[in-house]
Amino acid sequence: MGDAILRAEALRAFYALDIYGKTKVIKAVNDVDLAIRENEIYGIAGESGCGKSTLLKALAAAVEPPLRVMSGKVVYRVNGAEVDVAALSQEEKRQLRMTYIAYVPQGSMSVLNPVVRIRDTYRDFIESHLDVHQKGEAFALAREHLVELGLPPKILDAYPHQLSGGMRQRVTIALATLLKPRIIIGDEPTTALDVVVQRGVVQLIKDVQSRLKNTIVLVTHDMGVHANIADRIGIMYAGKIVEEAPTERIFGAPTHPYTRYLINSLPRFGDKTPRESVPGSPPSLANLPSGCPFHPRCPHAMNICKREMPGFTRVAPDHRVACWLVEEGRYGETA
Amino acid sequence: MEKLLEVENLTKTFTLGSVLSRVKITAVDDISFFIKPAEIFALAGESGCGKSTTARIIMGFERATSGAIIHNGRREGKSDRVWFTEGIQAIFQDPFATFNPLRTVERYFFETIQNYRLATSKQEAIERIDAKLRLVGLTYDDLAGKYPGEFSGGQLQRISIARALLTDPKLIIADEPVSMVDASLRMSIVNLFRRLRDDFGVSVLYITHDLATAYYVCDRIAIMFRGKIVEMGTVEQVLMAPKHPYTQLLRASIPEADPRRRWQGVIRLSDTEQEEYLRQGCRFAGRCPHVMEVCRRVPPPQFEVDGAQVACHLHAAMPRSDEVLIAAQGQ
Repeated sequence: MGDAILRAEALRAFYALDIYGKTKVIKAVNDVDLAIRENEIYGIAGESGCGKSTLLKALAAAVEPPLRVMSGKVVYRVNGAEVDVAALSQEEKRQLRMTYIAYVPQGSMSVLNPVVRIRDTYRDFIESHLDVHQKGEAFALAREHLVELGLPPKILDAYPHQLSGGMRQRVTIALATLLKPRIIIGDEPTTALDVVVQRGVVQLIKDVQSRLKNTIVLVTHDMGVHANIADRIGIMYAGKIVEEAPTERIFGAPTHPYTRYLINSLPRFGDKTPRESVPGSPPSLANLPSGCPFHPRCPHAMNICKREMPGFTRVAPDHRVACWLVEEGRYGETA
Repeated sequence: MEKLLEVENLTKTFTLGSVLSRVKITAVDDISFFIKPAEIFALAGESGCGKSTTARIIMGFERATSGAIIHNGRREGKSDRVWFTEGIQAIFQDPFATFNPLRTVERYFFETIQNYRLATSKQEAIERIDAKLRLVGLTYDDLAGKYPGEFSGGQLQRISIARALLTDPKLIIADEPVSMVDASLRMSIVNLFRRLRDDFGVSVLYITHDLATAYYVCDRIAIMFRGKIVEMGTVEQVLMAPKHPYTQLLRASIPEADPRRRWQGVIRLSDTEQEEYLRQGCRFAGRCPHVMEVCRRVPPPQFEVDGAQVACHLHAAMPRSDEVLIAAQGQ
């Protein structure tokens, strides 16, 4: 794919933990191929413990022990040239960060330093990335940026605890977009916010994207948020992407049995028909089932599912699924 | 009409700040509602609206500043605490925090049995535990000798429901029971409440911010905003045809799992929470698109509109149809 700005190729990132002398390997990202394009919002959905946060860390080149990239690679396209992230030095990574790729971590409500005012956080940030050393100049820049995003500039004088959770979250997103990065990676940026505030934050993210025409990779388990914001969605299960399609198709024609459960179990207004959860419990990443990791919970599991992981089948342009049912052309029988 | 639990003019005031700069926050402001037998009643609203405080007062963790809780016609007093909690059991938001990670899960079951003297022998106790666990799709053998860390969040939440069922309660108070459970497993918990209501006549006070599951599972709902109930009625009335401007905003802000129905228009977020609590008149006045002069001065009383209770001045003189309201909000 020529227009991919961020690619993962057969990426495997594992946690190696030492517990009482025994090494426990947690396969959080297990053979993931992704091609995320310019000017799109790409959503990654999946239940907790499926490895979606780890995938984001790997994509953001924020891999630190005990997390290790075992094989595969992450490739950025910076100014038309492809860059393998593993080949970058710490200093080169630091320079790319925030100017090329910005990361809004989970629970970003607590990333702001509680003992300094917002404007000092802004100043730290500006001084370490831009050649600005005049106090006034940095403030002017910060003020201008906040006004542009529709946030009140008076918050620069506030301490983080004086702001509401939603405002803190928006300040964090504002910080991440200050240097107009080409890629913004957000890990559950709206989780733990109230619905009205969540709508405000989603509004801001959409607004930033349409202004910068950049790429946003968004992880959340809330399918409602995905439906509202994402252009394409990848469904992750037990460290693997099992289905990927444009948002309309994920909601309109979910194909993988797991995706189908996920979409069909969502409650909808005006419809009280009984809905079923996915049977069973999510697998442990330290002890994955053989073959397709979904097979113990899958009502359509066949013998081959227990032995081998299926490859991707393209069921429509831009819509790929990793499931033996689809691979064997038996999808229609069970749908 | 038979009322299982009645909450009457409940008020709770917290004092914030030091001696010199005291601020009184009325977290729960003169609310009244009731729950019928075999009914799932939702108390919904955003964080800080007072819904959890209300639940904590009902469960006895917090003392009300004024007002009363009436259970089966008896007013709650200190002396009949055991009788009271036998009929009302609770489950909580975070299943991992409910259980001490260093104690086996079964110990909680035996403790409850001991506290309420529900069995005379160990064998009888195990039989009772097993029967309750089977209601939630587990068995005693599944959890014998196991620690909380060996279960998933969804399983632990089902286990805490089974524990609550030990005393055969008539009412379960569920404080955000699904917000920490994965979306893919949420329905298994919510469906359980449905079954308890339909098959065993158990009522549930379902405290939530998730209006979609509330619509799915509940019979009636009360929407709280900054300590006040702003709208109350059946889920059909309140969620499908909201009358209070706040309910309308809340309903319109829920991300629907349908990419064809994305959010339109821009919303305004609140100033600060405290400002809204201290407002004289209607607490939504600062954000309401239909704010009138009277709203800033007088707290609105409850008006009956099409069978639902709505606390909004708009419905006082000339009730406007909700189509007009929604059109005016530009949704």
